[in-house]
Amino acid sequence: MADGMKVVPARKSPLGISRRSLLHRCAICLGVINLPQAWMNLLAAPEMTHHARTEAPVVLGPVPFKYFTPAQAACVEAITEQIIPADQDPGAKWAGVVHYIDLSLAGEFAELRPIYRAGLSRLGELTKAVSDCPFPDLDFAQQTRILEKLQSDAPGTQSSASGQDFFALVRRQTIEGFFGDPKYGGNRDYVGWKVLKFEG
Amino acid sequence: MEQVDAVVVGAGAGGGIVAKELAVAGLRVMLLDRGPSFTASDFGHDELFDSQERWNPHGLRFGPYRGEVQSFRPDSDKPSRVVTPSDADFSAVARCVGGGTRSYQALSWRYHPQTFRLKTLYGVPAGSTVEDWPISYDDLEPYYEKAEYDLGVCGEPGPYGPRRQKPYPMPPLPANREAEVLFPAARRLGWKPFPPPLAILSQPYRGRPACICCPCCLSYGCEADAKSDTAVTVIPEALKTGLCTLRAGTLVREITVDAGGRPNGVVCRSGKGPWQGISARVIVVAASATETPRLLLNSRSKWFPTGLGNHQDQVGRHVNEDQGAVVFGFFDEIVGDSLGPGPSFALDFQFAHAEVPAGGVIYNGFSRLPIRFVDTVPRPEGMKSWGGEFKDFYRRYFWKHIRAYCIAHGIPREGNRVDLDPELRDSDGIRAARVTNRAHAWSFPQQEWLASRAELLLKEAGAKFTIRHPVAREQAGGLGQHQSGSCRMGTDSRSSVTDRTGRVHDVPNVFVADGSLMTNAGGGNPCLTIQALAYWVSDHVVRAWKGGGLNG
Repeated sequence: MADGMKVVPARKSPLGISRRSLLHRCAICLGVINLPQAWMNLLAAPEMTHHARTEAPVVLGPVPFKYFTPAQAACVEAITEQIIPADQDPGAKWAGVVHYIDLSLAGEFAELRPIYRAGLSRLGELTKAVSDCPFPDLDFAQQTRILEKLQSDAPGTQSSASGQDFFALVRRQTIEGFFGDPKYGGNRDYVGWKVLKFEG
Repeated sequence: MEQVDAVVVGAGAGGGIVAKELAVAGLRVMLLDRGPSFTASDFGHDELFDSQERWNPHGLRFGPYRGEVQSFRPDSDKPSRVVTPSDADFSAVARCVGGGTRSYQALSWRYHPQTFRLKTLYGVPAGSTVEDWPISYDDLEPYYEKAEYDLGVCGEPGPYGPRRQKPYPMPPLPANREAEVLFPAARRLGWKPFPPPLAILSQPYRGRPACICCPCCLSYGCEADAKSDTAVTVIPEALKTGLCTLRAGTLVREITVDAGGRPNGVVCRSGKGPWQGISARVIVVAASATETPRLLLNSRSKWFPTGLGNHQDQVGRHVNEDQGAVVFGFFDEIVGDSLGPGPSFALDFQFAHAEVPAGGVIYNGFSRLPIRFVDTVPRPEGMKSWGGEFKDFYRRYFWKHIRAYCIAHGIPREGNRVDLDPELRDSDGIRAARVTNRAHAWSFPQQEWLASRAELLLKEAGAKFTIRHPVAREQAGGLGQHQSGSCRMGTDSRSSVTDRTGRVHDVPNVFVADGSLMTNAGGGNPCLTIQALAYWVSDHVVRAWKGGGLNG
C-alpha cells in the first residue's frame, strides 16, 4: 500500500505514523549508505518488492467483464453480496468482488470455470423452482434461502463439483476479493480493510 | 561425476546447520534442496500471494508446490486416497532453502528433561510404541545453547526451567497489547507467565538487524532478515567457508550404494536437467519426517531390498506430532495491536505443573491479518459462515479477540507410518509417500486440560466469552509442520532407525538430521529441538570423519 493512500482511519503505532511511512521517510533522510542489503530492500518503496507479481490496471468507471456474461456477472455479484452484504459498511458488490472473481477466471484460475458453469446452472434450477425471475431480481431473503439450499447440496466428487462445492468456492473467493490487495480487482478503495480497521 | 565429502539432503532447519558445521570442520559439502532459494526482496505482505497458508489462492508460497503427490489413510486397515498439496491431508513441511524456518513463527522452546523419558514416567499406553529417547536433556543441553547462540534466539528463561548454563543471547522482544492484557490476568490466577523464546532478533546480531515488529511473521518470509531462519544464518556461513556448495531446485531421487553395499552418493536432478550422480563419503538426510523415510525407502539395492536402513522394517514407523488446541477469547475492548511478531506471552504447564500427564505450553498468537482472521475465527453456535451476522461478528472482534494456542505432548501410535504407496508415482517417476497417521488418545486429556486453562486465562483477562476449536480424540490427518519421529533414535535397532548419534543403524556413513529423529513430540513447537539435534548429529559426523568411524 503506497503512502498517500492512507484511507484507513489509522490506529497509530506508538510512533504516531505507519511503519512503512516512517521507513520511507528515513530512506530520504539517510540516503542508502552502508546498510546491509536486507535493510536497503526494506527502505525501498514497497511497490518495488512486488516486481515479480501481476499488476492489474487501475480502471475508473464501469469495469468491463473479461470472462462473465452480463447475466452471469449479475448472478455472481448477487451471491457475493449475500456472502458479505452491505450494512453500515459497504458489501461485496460495492467492493467490486465480482471483478476480482471475473479477473481470476479470465486469467490464472481458468481451471475454476467448470465449477462456476455447473454452479450457476444449479443455481438456475433452484431459482426456477420458486420464481420465474432471475436470481439477482429476487428479494434478499429469497436469495438467502436459495443459497442455503445450494450450500446443503450433497458434496460433489473429484470429477463433478456440486452446488455445495460451488458455494464454498464463491465464499472463499468473496473473502479473497473483499479483503485481498485491491490490485487483484476487489477491495475497492481498501473498503475491506476499513471494515476491520486494518492498516495494512 | 562430482565428488564431495558430504552430501546434505534438505536445506531446512536441520540440513542448513549440518552443512555449516561440516564445512567449518573442513569437509567439502554439497547442500541440496528441492525448493527455491528466496531473498528478503522476494517477500511482501500480500495475503493472496506471499503467505504459507492453505487459503493462498496462488498456493503455498514456500511449497510444497503443484506437481507433488502422496497418498493418505487414517489407519492401516483403511483404503488410502491420493492427495495433492492443496489438500489438508497432504503431509509436508515447506520446500525451500531454509525449509519451514523461512516462514515459521520461530517459537524456540527447549524440551524439559522429562520429555525425553516418557516411557519411564508413564509406561506404554495401549496401542502406542513410545520409547525413551536414547539421549537425555543433559546430553542435548550444550547443543540447545549452541543453537540459540548460533542462530539468534531471544527470550527469558521460563519459571520452571529447564536448567541452562547460559542466559539467552538477547532479551525478549517488546510486549504488545496482548501481553499487557494477559500477563496481569495470569498472575492474578497465581500462574507464572513469561515471554516465549523466539528465533527472532530483538537486537542487531551478527550483522542482521532487529525485528521491525511487522504483522506478517507467521507464514511470511522476513523482509528484514530478522527471523533467524537457516537461510540467513548458518547457510550463508556455510557458503562463506568456500567448502560448501548450495544447489537449490535440486531433487534427490535415491542414495546409491557401491559394489560392496556401502552408500556412496546420491542421484539428483536440478530443475528438468538430467539425473546425475554426486559421489560422497557421508550422506546426511534432513528432508523432513515425511520425505526422509521416503528417500530411504526409495533407495533400494540388493543389500537393502526394502530400502536403506530398513532391515528391521522400521523406516517411517512411529511417526507422530505434538497435539494442539486453540481457544479464542472475545472481548468488549481492544486487546490487540499491529505490533508483531505476535506471540508475546507463554505459560508452561508441563509435568509437575500439569494436572494431566506431561502437558504442554500455552502461548498467544498470531498477529492479525484480515483473511487469516475471517478464515480461522470460530463462530458462535448457529452463526452461518457468511452473511450479515457473520460480517458483524468479524468486524466487531478483529481487534477485540485473542487466540491462545496450546501444545501437548504426542506419542507414536502403532500403525502410524510413512511408507511408499504400492502404485502411486510422482511426475518424476519416483514412488510417492503413503502416510498413515492418527493421533494417540493419550494426548487428548492434555489438549482438553490445556484448553480449559486457556479459557480460564482469557476470561480472567476480561473475555466475555470463549470458543474452542473442537479437538477430536485420536484425530486422523496428514502430518503437519510439527511432524516427527519417522526415523527415530533408539538403542534397539528392532524399534528404531538411528542410533543415539543420528547414524542409521548398520549404515555407518548415513545420518539423519531432521525431525524424523525425535523419539516423541514434546509439549511445545519442535524446531529448536530439531536444531539442537542437528548440531549434535553434526558433532558426531565430524568425529566419525576425523576418527575413521565412517567405516563402521
